[in-house]
Amino acid sequence: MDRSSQQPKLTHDESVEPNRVVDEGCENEMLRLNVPGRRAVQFTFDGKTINAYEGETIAVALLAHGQRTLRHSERYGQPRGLLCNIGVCHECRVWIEGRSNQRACQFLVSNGIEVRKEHKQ
Amino acid sequence: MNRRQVVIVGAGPAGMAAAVTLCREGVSPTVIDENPQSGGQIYRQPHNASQQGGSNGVLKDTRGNRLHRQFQQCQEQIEHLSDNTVWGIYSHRQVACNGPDGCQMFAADHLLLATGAYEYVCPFPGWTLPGVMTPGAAQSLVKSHGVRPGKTAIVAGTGPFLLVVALQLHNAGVKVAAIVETARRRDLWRHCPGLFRNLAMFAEGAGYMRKIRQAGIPMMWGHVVTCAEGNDAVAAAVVAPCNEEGVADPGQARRIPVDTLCVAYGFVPRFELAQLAECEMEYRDIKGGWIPKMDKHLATSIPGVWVAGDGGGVAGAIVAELEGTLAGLAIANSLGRIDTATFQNRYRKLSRQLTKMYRFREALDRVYRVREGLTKLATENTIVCRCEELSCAEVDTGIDSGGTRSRTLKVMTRLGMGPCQGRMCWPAMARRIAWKTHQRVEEVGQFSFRPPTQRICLGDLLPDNQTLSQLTDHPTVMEKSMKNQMP
Repeated sequence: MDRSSQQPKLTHDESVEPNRVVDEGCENEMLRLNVPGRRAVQFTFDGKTINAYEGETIAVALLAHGQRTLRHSERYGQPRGLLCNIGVCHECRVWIEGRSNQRACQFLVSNGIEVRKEHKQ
Repeated sequence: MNRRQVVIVGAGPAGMAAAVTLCREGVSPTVIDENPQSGGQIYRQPHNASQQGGSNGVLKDTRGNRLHRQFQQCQEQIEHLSDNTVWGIYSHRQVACNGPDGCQMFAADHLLLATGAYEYVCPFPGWTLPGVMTPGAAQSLVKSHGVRPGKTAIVAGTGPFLLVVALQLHNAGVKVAAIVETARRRDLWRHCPGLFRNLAMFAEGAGYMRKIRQAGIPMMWGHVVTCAEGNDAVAAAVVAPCNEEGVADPGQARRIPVDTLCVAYGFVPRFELAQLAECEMEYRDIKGGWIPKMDKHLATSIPGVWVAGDGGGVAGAIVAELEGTLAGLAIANSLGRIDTATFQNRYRKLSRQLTKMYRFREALDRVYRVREGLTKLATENTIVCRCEELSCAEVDTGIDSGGTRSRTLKVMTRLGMGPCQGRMCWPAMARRIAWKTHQRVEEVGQFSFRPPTQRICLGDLLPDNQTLSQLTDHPTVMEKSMKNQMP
């Protein structure tokens, strides 16, 4: 009855370039599903305008734009992004409106706020 | 100091059920929760009602609806402090929290901790790359926000939750390249008798398996993700078969290109507040780690402190709701709102339901246990403490030079002293110490939490219209809390 040794068929498509979605800016909306009835808002991330919807967290809005790197680590400058999305891991910390080390996954977007990466290389 | 009859920390299934139960017995509880809305992680609600039933149905969730409705009906009676993080518990059930209205402290006659759990991720090479996230993170992205975490994904780790998330990602249009499950298919057969104790739950699991097959998602039993590759983000995951103890066979490893890797090996109870309340704790590997000791009515060793839901041992939302109801009744009973005969009567009914669930859960937890081999995934250069950026080699050096207990290793290496306060690294590192020094994990000892358990701004601790320089003239929450902590 043990079928675990069988080689599962993998269905990945070679034509998909996994890293293509990274840092492409506002025009990349491909990750967002069409959910009607939401109010659009805008904020900036490192000076770049990001379109978002009310009720989204900063982390969600940035991810929808393919912005996966939210900060660079203090010691080695490694890129870091969203991990737990429930406010436990603190990996998504960013600078929001003058306050440093805010969790992007817990902070809701609002119109016109300024968000920055914590450490730049 | 604000006095409250009952303070409930957490508005997930356990906290909500307890609040509803208390309201029905005429007690008005205070519910403190970190999220903008009630529901916790599992019954998370979309931002506004108009989003429900979005065009493609991904935002629909029916299971928690009844509980949400009941909680809504009691809204008048409940003091619901959303967006408020509890960062400390002081003696005599004093709860310190921080939110939009600044810092507040409550003295509770009864304190119910319904803090839930978070996902356990053990370190492996490449796990810090953006694009590596927990299945729960990916689920809330698609379910509550309608945002895909990426285009192609692997869902890896252990537990039936992987099936749920893989299916939700698939339905949202993410290409799920594989589900990589550490448990072997034969483990399911071995624990069949226990799983058959709850046929409804067993059928639900089987239903998920069928849908996974229909969706054409490859299910890789007895496999483990050994490495994530990529420069600025995940570009591929390396998957290898593993033995019963979860030790991977690198000879048979394969590289699967993906842009998202969802990985978690079950859940860890959030016990930090119970620890701060000085509850007696015990280590239960099968329940996810350290949990407070509780009697059959969910009372801890500290009078007036109760625990319900995953925070007292991971068992899922249905158990959490039952336990929340039980804790609510037990509190109402000790407040004299219901007589003991009625309480015993209702307790017996709940207890029967809970026993059935616990038995099923136990079998499930044995199938999907955290295997020792996972501890060996980290290599020399793997960052194991994400906040302090400690490599596995640095931590190993610490262990080898005498850091054989949680506390000593923390002092020697700074492991777990960053913003996450050890929540992410410590469960894995406790297992690593145990493995390297041939101890049991409980012998390594608890990781000790200190208030504030969450980041807060010093300025938030001040009363309105005050600055830090005025601190000395007025006793504040911070001063009081410091006084409590000073030896």
